[in-house]
Amino acid sequence: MNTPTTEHGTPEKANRVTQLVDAYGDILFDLCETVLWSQTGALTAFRAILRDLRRKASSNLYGEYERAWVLKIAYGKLQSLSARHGRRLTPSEQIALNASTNVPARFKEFDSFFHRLNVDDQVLLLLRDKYGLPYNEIAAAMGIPEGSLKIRRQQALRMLEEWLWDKT
Amino acid sequence: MGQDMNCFEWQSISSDHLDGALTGPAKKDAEEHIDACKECSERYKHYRLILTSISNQPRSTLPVPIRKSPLAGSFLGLDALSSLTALGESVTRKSRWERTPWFIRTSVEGVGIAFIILFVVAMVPRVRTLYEKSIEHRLDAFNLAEVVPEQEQQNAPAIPLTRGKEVAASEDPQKTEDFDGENEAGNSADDEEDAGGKLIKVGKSEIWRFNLKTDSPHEVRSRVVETLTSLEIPEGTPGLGGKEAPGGIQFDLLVPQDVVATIKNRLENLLSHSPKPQAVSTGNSRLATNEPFTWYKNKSKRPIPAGKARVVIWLSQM
Repeated sequence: MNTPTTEHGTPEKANRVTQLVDAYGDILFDLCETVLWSQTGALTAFRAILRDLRRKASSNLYGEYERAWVLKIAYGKLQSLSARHGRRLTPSEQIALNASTNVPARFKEFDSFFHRLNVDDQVLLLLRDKYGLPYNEIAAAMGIPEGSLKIRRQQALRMLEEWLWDKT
Repeated sequence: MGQDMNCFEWQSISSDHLDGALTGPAKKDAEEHIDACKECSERYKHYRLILTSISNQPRSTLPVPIRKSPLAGSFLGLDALSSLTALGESVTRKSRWERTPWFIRTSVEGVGIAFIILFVVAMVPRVRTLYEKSIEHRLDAFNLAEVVPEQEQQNAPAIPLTRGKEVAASEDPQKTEDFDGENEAGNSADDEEDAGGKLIKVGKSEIWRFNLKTDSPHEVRSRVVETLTSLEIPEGTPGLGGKEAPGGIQFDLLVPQDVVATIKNRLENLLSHSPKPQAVSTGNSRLATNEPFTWYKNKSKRPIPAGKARVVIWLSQM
């Protein structure tokens, strides 16, 4: 018996994507927008993530780690799209950023310093400290062992500290 | 570990310490190190501030149009996104060409590329032909080119056929000394009157060059040989039969000085039906091109026997 299909695939797939968007749409969109630092880029990335979700909707083998599976797809897309759609500081902005003399002034530009980090470190800090995800989920999403995640997080924090407190 | 925990060890567990994941003696040691080490204490506070800043970052929510119809927003790509443009940010849209079905785009692009390739393939021989013609033209011009001294140009305003030196019959031969400075005006044997009523003067050690452009050099060759033999030039004279050369046939022979003028006249008459010459002026030199019959003379660097002149006749394909 043939399953009826729509322009977006089978109804099951469409329902599955809708459920995923309901459950993780906010965190996905916020992750895209924060990492890419642009609403346009976030929309592009979100569309790409949804496309992947639709394609792989029936192959979710993670079960209880569904969020990790979704985040894994999102992380892969962000890695590939960040170079093209992510906003980057111009050289003059970088110079202006370094010209700030005191710590409070630098903290006002926290977002700029945060985006100096690479995509992996940004995603790690966001998932861990903004959304409070456990290490095992982050490790599953990013494909990095938990121990390495902790070391990378500490290194990212140290880098931010050096920039913000001007210890370079 | 106890009081033995150093800064490096604290750094390696700082992530867990910040998360409050340390328990038992590890937690106690870490806190004791923080209390004892000013540097790590400051660092711990800094890390806390940073983590607070990250966790306090504002969170965006998924725009309602996409939440309502995620598939329309993601695959049709226009409805949800166009509603989002109202948020004040421009959204990149695909052009009409990008929205065209891929098979149409591919076909059109393929046909276009094929046309370009065919055009290039068709044009290459034509360009090559043009190039070869231009090269030939330059070679002809080079062969016929002769720099005419400015003074000579001024003194000889009318040169009907060639760049050779001509002396009007009425002029005093004394006034027209040859370029080698020899004055042979008194020698009437050296002066010949051609059919046009003009004199040419044959001096010592001169090479006279005659260029004939014709449609059929081989046919003209036999007539040239006939002409030369009729002038009582011995049959065994080297170069009398002419020889094949790239681009034409060349005769190179030594003849008595007094027959040069006759050779010139007869060769000219061979091509009496040819079109009128076109002279091209380039700077100080006057180049005669596309003329069926041209001639000029120059001084030979090698000695030529007394009473002889070297005649070079060149039959080239028109």
